[in-house]
This record gives sequence, structure tokens and C-alpha cells, in this order.
Amino acid sequence: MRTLKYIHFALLVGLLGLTSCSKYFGDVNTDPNRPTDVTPTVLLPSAEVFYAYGMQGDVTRFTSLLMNQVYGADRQFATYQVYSITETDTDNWWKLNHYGGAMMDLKNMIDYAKTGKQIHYMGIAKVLMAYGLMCATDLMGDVPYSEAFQGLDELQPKYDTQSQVYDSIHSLLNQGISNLADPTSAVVEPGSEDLVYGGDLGQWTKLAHVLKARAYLHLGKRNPANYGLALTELAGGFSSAGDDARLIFGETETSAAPWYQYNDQRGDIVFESFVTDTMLALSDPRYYAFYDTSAGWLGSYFNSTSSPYFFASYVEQMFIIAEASFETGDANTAVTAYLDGIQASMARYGVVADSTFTADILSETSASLTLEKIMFQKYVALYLDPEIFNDWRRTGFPRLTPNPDALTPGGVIPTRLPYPQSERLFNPNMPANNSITSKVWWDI
Amino acid sequence: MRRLLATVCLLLLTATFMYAQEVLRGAVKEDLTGDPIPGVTVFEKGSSNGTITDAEGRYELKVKNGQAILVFRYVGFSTTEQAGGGDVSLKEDVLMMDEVVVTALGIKSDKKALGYSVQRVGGDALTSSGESNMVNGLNAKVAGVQVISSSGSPGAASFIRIRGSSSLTGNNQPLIVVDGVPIDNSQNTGGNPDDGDNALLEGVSQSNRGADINPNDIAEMTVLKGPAAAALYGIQAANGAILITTKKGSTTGKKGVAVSYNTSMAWDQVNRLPKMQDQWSQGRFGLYRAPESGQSRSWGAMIDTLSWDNNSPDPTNPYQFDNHGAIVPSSDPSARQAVTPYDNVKSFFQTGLTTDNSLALSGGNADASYRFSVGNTHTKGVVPLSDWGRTTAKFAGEAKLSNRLKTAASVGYTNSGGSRVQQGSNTSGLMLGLLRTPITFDNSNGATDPKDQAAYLLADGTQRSYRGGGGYDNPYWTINQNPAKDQVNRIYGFTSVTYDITKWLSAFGRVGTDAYSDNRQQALAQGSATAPAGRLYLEKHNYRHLSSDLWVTAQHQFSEKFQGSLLLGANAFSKHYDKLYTQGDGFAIPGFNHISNMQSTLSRNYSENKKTAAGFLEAKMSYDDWVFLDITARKEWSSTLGKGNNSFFYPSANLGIVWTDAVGLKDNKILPYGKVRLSYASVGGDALPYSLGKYYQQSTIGDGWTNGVTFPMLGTAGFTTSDVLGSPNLKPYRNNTIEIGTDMRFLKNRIGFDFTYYRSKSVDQISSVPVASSSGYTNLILNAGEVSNTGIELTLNAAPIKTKNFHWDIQVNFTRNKNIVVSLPPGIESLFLGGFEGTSIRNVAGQPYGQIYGGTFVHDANGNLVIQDDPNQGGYGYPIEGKEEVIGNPQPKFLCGFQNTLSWKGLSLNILWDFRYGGQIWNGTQGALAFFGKSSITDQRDDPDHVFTGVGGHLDADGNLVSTGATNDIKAPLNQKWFEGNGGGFGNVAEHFIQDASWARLREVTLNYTIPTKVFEKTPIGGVNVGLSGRNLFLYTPYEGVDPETNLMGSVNAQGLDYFNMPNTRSFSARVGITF
Repeated sequence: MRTLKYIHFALLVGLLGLTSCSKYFGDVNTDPNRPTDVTPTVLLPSAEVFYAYGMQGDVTRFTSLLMNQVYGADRQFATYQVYSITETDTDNWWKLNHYGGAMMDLKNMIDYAKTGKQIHYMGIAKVLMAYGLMCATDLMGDVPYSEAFQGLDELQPKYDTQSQVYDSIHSLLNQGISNLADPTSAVVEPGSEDLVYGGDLGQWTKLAHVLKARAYLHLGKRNPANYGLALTELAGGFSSAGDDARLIFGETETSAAPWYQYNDQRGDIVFESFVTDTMLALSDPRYYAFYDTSAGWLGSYFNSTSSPYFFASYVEQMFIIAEASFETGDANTAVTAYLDGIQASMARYGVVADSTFTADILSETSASLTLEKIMFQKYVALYLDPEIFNDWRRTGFPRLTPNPDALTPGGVIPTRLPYPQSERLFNPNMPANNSITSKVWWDI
Repeated sequence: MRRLLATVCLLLLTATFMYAQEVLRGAVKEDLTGDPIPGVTVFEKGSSNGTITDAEGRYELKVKNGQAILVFRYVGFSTTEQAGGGDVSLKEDVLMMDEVVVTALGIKSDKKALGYSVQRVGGDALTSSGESNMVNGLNAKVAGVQVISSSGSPGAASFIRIRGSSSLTGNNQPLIVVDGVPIDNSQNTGGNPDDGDNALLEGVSQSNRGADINPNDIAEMTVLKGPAAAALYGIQAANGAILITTKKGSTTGKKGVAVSYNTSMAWDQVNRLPKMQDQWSQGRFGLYRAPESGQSRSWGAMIDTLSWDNNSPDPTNPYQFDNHGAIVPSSDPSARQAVTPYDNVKSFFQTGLTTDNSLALSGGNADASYRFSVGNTHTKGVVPLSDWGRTTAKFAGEAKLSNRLKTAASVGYTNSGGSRVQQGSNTSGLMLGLLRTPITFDNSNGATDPKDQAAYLLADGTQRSYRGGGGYDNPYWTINQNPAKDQVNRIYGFTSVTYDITKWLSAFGRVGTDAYSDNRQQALAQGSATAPAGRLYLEKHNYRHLSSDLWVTAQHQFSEKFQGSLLLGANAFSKHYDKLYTQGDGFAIPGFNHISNMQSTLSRNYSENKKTAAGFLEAKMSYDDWVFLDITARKEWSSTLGKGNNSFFYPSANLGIVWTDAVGLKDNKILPYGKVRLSYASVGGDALPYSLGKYYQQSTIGDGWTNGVTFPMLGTAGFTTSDVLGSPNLKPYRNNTIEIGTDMRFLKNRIGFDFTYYRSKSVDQISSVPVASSSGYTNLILNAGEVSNTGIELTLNAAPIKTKNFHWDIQVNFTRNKNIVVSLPPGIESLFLGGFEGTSIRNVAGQPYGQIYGGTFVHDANGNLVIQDDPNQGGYGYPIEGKEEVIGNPQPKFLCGFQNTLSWKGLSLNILWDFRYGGQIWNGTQGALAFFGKSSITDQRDDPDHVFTGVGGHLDADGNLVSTGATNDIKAPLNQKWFEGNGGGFGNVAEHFIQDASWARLREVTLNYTIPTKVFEKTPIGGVNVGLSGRNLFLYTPYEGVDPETNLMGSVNAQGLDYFNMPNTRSFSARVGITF
């Protein structure tokens, strides 16, 4: 060992020219490309777009394909059309958009807002966190939350049961509502960088109530009392379509909406499908908004650079009311909400019903209203919205015909999306059953 | 050890000056011919007092004692000693024992004195190989070295690896050093920096920057294989080093300016293409579908049932997708002429042409020398309109300013670049569009000029392609409308000073630099598949480094037999890389490729800085010229590690014993030379810059299918937590290597071999390790994991015939390396190195480095394919989809270069065979083409009674295999549906596209003729050398795709992927060299 000391000494002498190592290195290892500190002002818009892009992109392409709203015609999407969907197919979305994207940023935003006493940012972050958590658990089942986003402190977060996850969702939304109502205002308040509501705290509060209602609705089969709770929540929900929680993508190629980008750059999905065929038969005026018959392609409302993504909408709220009222035996409220929902949906696309549609659909009465009708109209109204996959699993409506070439056991339509490969590889807590035909907890 | 060091240190302090008193003179002649030999080193035995002989072979040396023993040494001749000076005759050394090699820091050493393995490749071997990328010139010529070129595209990158890979995810390529100064050999990834290596899966192939060196300037290359050899270069040489010595002016040649001019031309052709079906048209389910349908696949009608119709011969209004007419069934009344298939692939490629010219002027005398050279090489690729060129200028000079002070300087300038080829999974990728084109569609539309717009433009100005403009680009569109150009300007060089303080002590200082800018512009015209609105990329890469060395060397003769030397030095190294990326979307004026013309732009700037500082020493001792001990130590500090962990110390020791001398066999006829070598080294390595903390970054948001969106957008900036979390306490990783070897020569050196066995272990790897992103991060940088390399290298030399005029020499280079990922960080099953979501290259614990990982079919315990025997489950009668796991190993079992050189007078014939046994590649091209009904494996596309070979079985509800092991006899149709599912490359299974990439390759054949100098006696011409050569003239491989010497991602750790890779080439060349 003393020899080594001599050698060290000799080498140090050789370095006499370098008076001090720390001086020599200076700030060479300070990253010029990435900050180590940010503010909620830049995290919020990023998180919103992560959600909107991931949900309208990867997630909706899968759910719409499974729900016969679109048809996977070519390349990889021809494979998905026979329900061959594997853990690698959900990896990007989970890793980059959802858990590793928006949700981690929201966690950081909550932490930052605490130290910066920006309680309203914290409220928004909690509402959005609840939104993302519900998306994930509805698609996959048990998901990590209580131990998630801890970095080095917990590299293998446990998977909370779906029932625990729903508790967390309600708790986040309750906290969010109370944070948003806090009178303390900070130096920097949410504003134009909020791409959903432009910093309108009242609208965020309404969204929180709608999300709570959605959460109760999802668990309606677990406990019918939830239908009533959903209706109660909606007293604080949206007043009109003006309260819709939507993010409108931009005009440029690098800010364009996912459907536009997918159709433009890949084009392996076609839009002539069960839903469009049925609508045509029903003389539904929205058919021409959904399907551009001259181009034989997705209508421009959905297929533009600046198409919107809806986190939740007044239209959906009307159908939640319709379903929950129907389930609680209030057919009168149900039919009113049902018709309001269809009207609001038509208003969104700026279309007017013809006499056939008015006679066949818009003259619905409380006596003839069925759950199937409600769910079918919700299915149309929420065209290309991932929520319809939840609705179909909960209610079995609309009645869908599986692809005859299905590769799933029994040829059935999948009832969940697989956990991503990265979780299977790196988190031993991931549940072993990753079959896409198994069912999530609320799906009974 | 301790005493030894103390002695050496003492020597440094107590040395006394010695004064010369007498002058010894004489001349040195060649023993056989009596010709004077210039350039012989003459020195007083046991001192550094020496000189070299002049052009007439004369020398003068001042000594303190008139009877001093002088040592005369010259490469290729036996070292001779003579007391008192006078004339001396040197005998040719048949054993070549005095071979001098360049070792670490550019210090020359007798090969005999080395305790580790090095191998030399002469500059001539590089130039005659006709490779313009000097890295490729090493192929099959050095044991332990593996070179993989990414393709035959002009300027494409090559990957080089010595003794396997030692870093899990970091750099595994050797350091390249030119005249003692490192140069950068990166392949700078293009594209948005946020996308990282993903850009390598698509886009254009870039060069490894080593391609900027003109092989004509290289005098020799020495490969330092192990870290022992490279211990003095520190971190950067953890994977070995390639030392390039450039040509210099002769200090002893004839007076005046020596002029040398070399010119060559080479013709390149595609050497191998995938096999395709030639019977079925565009369409699906046996029905022809026209381009207007947008149909991507070739599952249409058999071509002999189809005809061109008679509606289109109207020349004023031809059918826009085919001059021959629209395609109809032959039974249709409008049918006019039977359809004949188009061979789009063959008609697309052209014969490439490479021209190379190089001119050098050199000269010198005993006090100074210079060499100035200019060179130009230009390759017109096998892909029309692609090219790559390089213009170089280099100056090297040395001067003796006084008896004690010498200086040297060298500066090289390179301008390189060209028009690159779009490749890979890119929807504008050339092979992707080309190979998927059905045989019923003519990409060229009958045009013969590749620039003819008739091929790729319709009358309305939109793209003419077989999918009616959608999907992916017509290759003619790609080459005309999507140009990707790059322009590199580079300067590298050094200046150095040597000062002899006393007879035994000298000091050396050197400052070297390498700096370049790489400007790239790539346009995707409006209507391109990748960016339908049109896109422009502008990239500016700037790189520079500065490396400064300072050292003192002391030598001492302890006794008659025992001598030693000590070197003590320091190095400071700093580098800076900066990339400015600008992307413009949407052309306002079509065809005007300028950033001002774009409707929106986004910009990214990535820069990286790093510094290291080191002190080092080397102590060499020799006893009686047969025992050699060399000890090195280096302490290095790196800016990329945290305080307290940022320095590391690495020692090495090596011992060489020429045991034949010890036992008195020195002049033995049968075994005149036998040496054993033993070496141990430990080197350390640092992290990539900025690996220590948590960062945020500008948000770029997308998915696997689309380009995505990027902030700033919608009028606001957006930041997100970086996916990679650093660790503040990273410590250096370590590589420990032990190497033993022997060098034996028999029968007057007519036959000999050099054998090396080595074992290395790299521990505490620094890697970016994937973690469950529910933790908030996708990757974590940490120290963990171990990689080992064990291998043998054998070089065999033989001279079966050696007469005065005729020589036959054989050299065999055999390489076997076992590169194992011993362990990965805890909890990690595999580490992603590159590739796609479905099929990737990963490191898996306990498996060889860089395995192919992807979807499998279920196999039973005996390895039989299990065929679904439960009619209630999907896929009855078909193989069952299993999990994703290791499906292939790209590591070859061995590599072998086999070289025969026959020379007769001025004529020489050199034949180099290259064998590679083992090593697999994922043939993703074949997989995709099977889906599209284009691969020849879909020839069998309609077999309703197909029975898959395997055993019947199924999975129970828990996923466990239930099988009786009975041979499957269930009939399951082999048809379009199968190939569009798991039978093709877009299903979830990749294992059936893993193929053996062994090869036997006639890598080089060179015929050279040196015209006898007598012919030119009365002319100013000094000599003329002419040569013909061929490269890749023959290739045998079981691989079913393009030449398996290819790689999708180029010069990176992820090797073994073929997804619409560009093909390789064979070439023929002719060369003339003239000296004046």
C-alpha cells in the first residue's frame, strides 16, 4: 500500500500545473440543456398535452378499434384488429405520456406548489392527477398510485387495488375542490398557459365534480348507491358546453392533433364502421360530421390539426345523468337528459336533425326509454372518446359483434388493455394476469 | 517493487552530466549488396547518446571513450554492435525480431520488449484494399478486431470493436489516435435531440467521423488490443486503441522533393438483395387492386391472369400509373396485352463509381523533414443521386532546432460530405418503398433517367407511387425530392517539442486538437410520406477537443545487462460538442429549401462539455535483452463524476520473457525465438456528462406512430421531468484484464504463431437502467452490473516458399471472443440497447452481449414448436404465441481472416478470405415483406392442407403448457391470413426471422505490379506501381437478406438488426501510383 502512496504522490507532482481540480473543472458538468428547477407555469400545459395526446392518440385508437368505431386496415393496425394487442403496444403511452409523462409532472407540480404556496395550481394538479389515475385504472385494473412517483425511494411501487385507486381518485378530487376554493392567492396564479380553462378556477371545480360523478358511475355495479352519488355530484357540474374541459390542438404540424397526425402519417385505420353504418341507417345528421363521404375518410371536426380533445364534456354529463337517473328509477329525468345529450352533441357539430331522426330518436319518451338506447346514443355522442369502452364493459351496450378473425380465446372483444412491458420487466408487483380478456374489478 | 521505485527516483536526483570527448565515424552498408543504408540508428551502448546515418550511410558520434561500443539498429536488419566505430555491414534479419511498433502516447518500442499483444497493419494494405473508410481497411487483418459496416451506401458508418464489448450501454469502440493525439470517431446522431438514438432507426445513415482520415496519409496502424496496452491513454481507451502513424518526410532519402501520386477508380455494384416473389400482383385475397385503391400489399391475382387494357395507349391521355395501361383480368373485354412483371429493384440500382486521387510532396535532411499531401475521393453510390466525397490536405514537419531541441507539427484539413440515402423504418426509406412495390407497378414509369419526373410525379404534381400517393414514398421521389446533404469541415493536428535536458533525461510536450463542424440539411418535400406538409431539417454539429501532454523521460543503464527507464507525465483533455437542430414544417413555396420558407419552426440546442486531467508514469526495466518488465500507473480526474468520486487510479504491469535467449536457443535453426507474455491491467471509466442529478426538459410529446407535438406550442412553453434520473454518488466503473500470450517462430521464421488468451471483467458498470415508470422515471443512472470477455487470438504466419524471386506468405488471423453479460443491476431482466418495441437488441444477464429480443412461439421442453390443438382457443392448428424473450445472438462464434500473398519479382497477388462463423441477425425486412406478400417465402401462399411441424398442445387458463408431445397433424391453411398475422413480420412473433449470418467472403483480391526502376532510369520517374483489386467478389452466407455485413443503426452497440437496410456492395478497382 505504501507503494501506491508513493505513486499517487508522484502523479500529483506531475499535475502541479493544475493548481486545483475544482477550479479546473469549474461548472463543466452543469447541464446547459436542462434546468434543475421549473415552475408550475411550464409543467401545467405540458401535463395537459401529455394527457390529451396520449389519450386521443394511442389509447383512443385502441378503444375505438375495439368498440367498432374504426377499423384497423393495414400493417400493425390490421394485427390489432384481430385483437392481438400485447404489452409492448401500451408501453410508449404508459411510459412517456401517462405515468412517466403527465402524472409525474403533476406530482412535481403538487410538491412545487406546496413550497411556493401556489395552492390553486395544486388544486388543478390534483384534479388532473385524479383524471389520469382513473384513465389508467379503467383501462388496466389495479395500478400503482400510493407508492408511485417516488423516484429512487421506491423503484417498484406496489399496485393498489382498483377499489383503493377509486378511493384515491375521490380523495384527490375532494382535496382539489377544496384547494381551488382556497381564498389565498399567490404571486403567480394559473392563467393563459392553462390550455384547458385559461386559469378559470370555477371551471376546474366543475370538472372535479363531473369527474367524481364519472367515478361513481363506473362503480355503479359494485354499489347501486353510486348512481345517486353521481347525480348529487353533478349539481356542481357543468352548466353548459361552455364548461367543456377540452384542449384544442394547434394549427401547425408540430402542434397538430393526434388523429390528424396519425391519418396523415400512417393512415392504417379506416372510418367506415359499425357506428357510421348504423348512423346512416338512422339518418343521424352527425354522420356527415363523423364521416367525410367525399373523401371516404374521418370528418374534419376530428381530422384537423386543431381538433379538440375532451377530458370531460357537457354531453357526457347529460348521459351520466340519463343513465344514473334511469338506474335509480327516475325515467323522466333520464329521458330529458338523454334528449339534451343528443341535442348538445348535434350542437357541437353544428348539425340539425331531419324528420326521420326527429321522429325516430328525438321523440323518445320516458315510457320507451331503455338503458340500451341511452348507451347507444352515448356511444354515438362520444364518438372516438375512450369513455365508451368503459360504458360498453359496464353495461354491455351497444351490442357489438367481435371480429370473426379474432385471435382472443373464444374470439371475444378484449375487456382491458395489457399492462406495459416495462412494468412487467421492472416491477415485480405487477399482477401476473395480464390477459386482455380478463376483467377489471368494477367490470362485473 | 518499492525498492525498485526508490532506486529509480534516486537516479533522477543524483544524476551527473557526462561529457563527450572523442568522435567516432564510419559508414553502414548492406551486407549482401554493399549499398549504403541511410537512416540507421547509431548509439552508444547504455546511453541515449546517438545519431542516425545520412543519405550515404555515414555517421559521426561524439563519445567520451574511443573504445565505446556502438549499437547499429535498423528495421529489417539484425542489430549489430561494434566497439570503436568504423564501417559496419548489417545483415538482413530473417527473424524480424527488431520490429518496432508504436505504443501508447506514440512512443516507439521494440515489439520484442512488449508484454502484451499488439498488431500492425501497414498503410499499403489500407490503400490497396480500396476502402475509403480506414476503419473498414482493418477488416479480417487483425486478430481480435471486428468491423461491421452499416451498408454499402456512400460514406456509411462502420462499427469497430476490439475483444468484444465491455460497457453495458456506453461506448464500446476503441480510441483512435493519430500521431499521438486522439481524434473523434463519433457517428453524430441526427434528428431532434429529444428523440435520442431513435433517429438511427430511420433517417439517413451518417458517417463515423474516422472516415475523414485519408488512408493515403497513413503510414501504419497499430492496434493496441487490451487495456494493458492502452493503460496510458486512460478512460478513453478502455476499449483498446488504434494508433495511426501518418507518413512523414524522409530525413535520409535522396535530395530534393520526392513526389508521389496515386490514382484509382473503383466500380461498385450491389452484391446481394433479398429474394422476392415474382408471380402475384398488388391486391388482397387473390384480387388485383390498382394503385388508386391505396392497397399496400401483393396478395393479388396471379400475374398470368392479368392484362393491360386497351384504354390507355392514347398518348394524349395515358393511364397515370402505368404507360402500358390499367390492369384488368385477362378475361375482360378491354384486355390488350398480358402483364409482365417489373423488376423494380434491379432497375433501380446503378453501378457506383469511386475515384481517388492523392498527391504527396516530401523531403528532408538530417535536421528537418516535411511532407505535404492533398487527396480527393469521390463516390457516386449505387443508389442514383447519392454520393460522398472527401478532400483532404495535410502537412507534417519535423525540425531539429539544436542538438537538444526538436519540434514537430502536423495539421490536417478535411472537407467531406455528400448526399445521403434515406433508410430504415422511415416511411421515406428507400429500401422500404422499393422492396414493398408490387411487381405490377413500375416505380420508374418507364423512365431511364433517375431524375425524370415522369417516375415520381403525376400530372397534378402529387406523388406517383404504388399506393396512390399514400403510405410511403416512391424511391425516385425519395432520391429527387428528399435530399439529405452534409458538409463537414475538420481540422486536426498537433505541435510538439522534445528537449534533451541531459544525456539521460528528456522532456516532451505536445498540444493536439481536433475540431470540426458538420452542417446538414435535409428536406422532405410536400407530399412525402413522413411529413406530408413538407419538412426541412437544418442541423449544425460542432465538435472540438484539446489534448495536452507533458512528460519527462529518464533512462539509465544500471549494469551491463540491466537497464531501465522512467516516464512521468500529465495530460489535460477537454471537449465540447454542440448541436443546433432546427426543424421547419410546411413549405410556403414548394421546392425552395430554406428555413425562411417554412410555415412553422422549432429549434433545439444540445451541448455537452467534459474535461479530464491525469498524471501518469511508466517504468520500464529490461535484463539482458530477454526479460522485459513494464509498469504503468495513471491517476485520472473526470468532470462527469461527483466530488469525492471523481478520481480513479489505474495500474498495469506486463512482463515479456524471450525464453529462447535465456536457454541459449538464440540462433537455433528449429526454434530460434520463443517468448511468453503476461500482463495485468486495471482501468477505470467515468459517466456521461450530466448523469448526477434530476433535470427538467422541454416537452416533446408523441406516440410510437406519429411525429407528435412539441413545446413551445399554443403560445406557451412546456417542461417535463426528464425521464432519466441521475445518481449523485456515481463512482467510476472498472475493467480488470489479464492477458497471457506467446510468440513462437520456427525454422528460421518460416513459420510462426502468436497466441493470446485474455480475460477481462468490467464491474460497477455505469448504465442508464430502465425502471418501472410508475416510479416517475423510465431510467436511472447507476453503478451496477458486470460484463466479461474471454477470448483467444491466434495469428499464424508461414512462408511455404521463399526463394530469391518468389515468395508465398500466409497469414491467418483467428478471433474467438466470449462476451458475457455476467450480471445486470438488481431487478433488471434486460437492458435495451436499440431497436423497435417488438424486436430489439438487449443485454440480458447471463447471456452474451447484445442479444436479439422479441416475440416467440411456444416451444415444449424439447424445443419443439407447439401447435394449437384446442379448437376452442384461437389459432387452431397454428403455432401458439409465446412471451418475448431472447431469440437470437448476433455474436459470432469466431472470425477468421486468411491471407495469401504470392510475390514474384515486382508482381504480387494478395488474396484475403474472411470467414465468420455464427452470429445471427433479425431479418425484419423479410418479416415485413412476408406481411406484404412480397418475400419469396410467400411463394407458398395457398396451401389449405398445410400441417405445421411441431407437437400438438395448448396453454391452460394459467398459461401453462399442456402437451402430450404427439406430432401435430392438424391441417391449418398457410395463406395470406397467416402471413398477415404471426407468419409475417407485423405479427407479435419474431423468432422465425432470426437467421444465421455466418459467411465466407472473398474480401479482397489485389494484384500489384511494381515496374522495375530500370525502365525509368533516364526519366524523372522514380517508380511506378499499378494494381487491380476486387472487394467482396464472393460471398457465401445462409442469411436470406442483403449482405449480413450490415446494421440498421450504424456504429452503435445495438448490432444485429436488419430492417430495410441498405445493401452492401462488391467493387472492382484499378490503381496507379507514381513516384518522382
